[in-house]
Amino acid sequence: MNEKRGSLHLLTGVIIGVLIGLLVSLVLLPVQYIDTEPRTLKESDRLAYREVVARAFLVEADTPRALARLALLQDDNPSGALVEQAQTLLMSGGKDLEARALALLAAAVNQPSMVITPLAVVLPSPVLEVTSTTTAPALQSTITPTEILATRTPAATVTPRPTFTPQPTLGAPYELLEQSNVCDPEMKLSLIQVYVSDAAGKPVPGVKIEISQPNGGVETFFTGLYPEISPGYADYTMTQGMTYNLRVGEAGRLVLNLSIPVCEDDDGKEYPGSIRLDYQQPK
Amino acid sequence: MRKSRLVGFIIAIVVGIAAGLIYGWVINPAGVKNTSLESMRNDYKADYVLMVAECYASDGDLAGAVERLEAISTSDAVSVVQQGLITAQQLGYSNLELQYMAELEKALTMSGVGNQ
Repeated sequence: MNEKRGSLHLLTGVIIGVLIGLLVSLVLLPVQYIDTEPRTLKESDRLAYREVVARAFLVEADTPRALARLALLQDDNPSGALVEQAQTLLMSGGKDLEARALALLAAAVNQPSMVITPLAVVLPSPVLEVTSTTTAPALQSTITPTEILATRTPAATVTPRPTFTPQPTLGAPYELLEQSNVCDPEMKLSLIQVYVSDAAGKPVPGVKIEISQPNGGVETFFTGLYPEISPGYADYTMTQGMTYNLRVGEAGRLVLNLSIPVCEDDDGKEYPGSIRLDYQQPK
Repeated sequence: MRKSRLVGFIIAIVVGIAAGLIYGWVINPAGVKNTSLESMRNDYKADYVLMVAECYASDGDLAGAVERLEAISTSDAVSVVQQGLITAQQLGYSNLELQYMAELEKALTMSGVGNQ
């Protein structure tokens, strides 16, 4: 009897110990990894990484490089992830430029040959004399000197930055080519469907569209969020009884009083339709 | 007798804890997932710094750059960019790319925003 009790208390101790050990090693203090790859990032950091990749894409306009960076995340559906992030950003009133960058990158995923105009950047003149006012001595002591570091801009002559112009696709304002009602009884929503193309008729992603209502409130969205329809496509869901004003691009003309059109089916029964707007840059 | 039982019980717990820790940390550690930007390898960090520098070159938003840089290190933003520059040089980044990064480093140093 005493022998059995002795074994049991040891077994109980081991079980308690193992449970504590597992709790600590798997939950409380799990292994901390270093030198990881982007594919293992947690969701919040994946969002941050995607956003930076998209923003850099606007500057570099290097589609293969942006896609290679994006591939590091190993998303199941890279385009879908970008579109979802852009929409979430817009709905939360986030930064327009980031949303546009994400939309453009989503379009690039579906159309790798896509070319965008890079954003203007400001860099100092490449040749300047080094003076004693050059800052960051720590950098100079730890980095092998190169032409770049030896010619950094002295503090006293820093070049002022011009006003930022977030326009990856500069050009003439888009003009409304055609406005038509779309009557399809199968459509469950009444949409304002916008198709934007350049002067050559090629769809343009990342074009800003503003929807405003007479009683106030402005919403912004971008083409390119539905690349499966067209890289130059965007839509907005209308509400019954509301009227909308719409502007495409930064300097486009305002289209006034858009509202849900009334359509009739074969039996003469009325149902709400949609509106299609085709925009193009003048040649 | 009682004392020896207690000692045995404690030793059993210690042995169990050791076994649990070895299993969780060595034999079957938690999978590599849910990592942070901070744990990324240095070459990925350098590329991230370059992207942040390019964003800064286009929008001039230094506060935004600092916010992004803080995501990849607990060090101050200037040190993060300096480390990125070192790695970038070792990896043979182009002069233009190094220039973007050096510009950001200079702006952070001059403004004092990125120093702790």
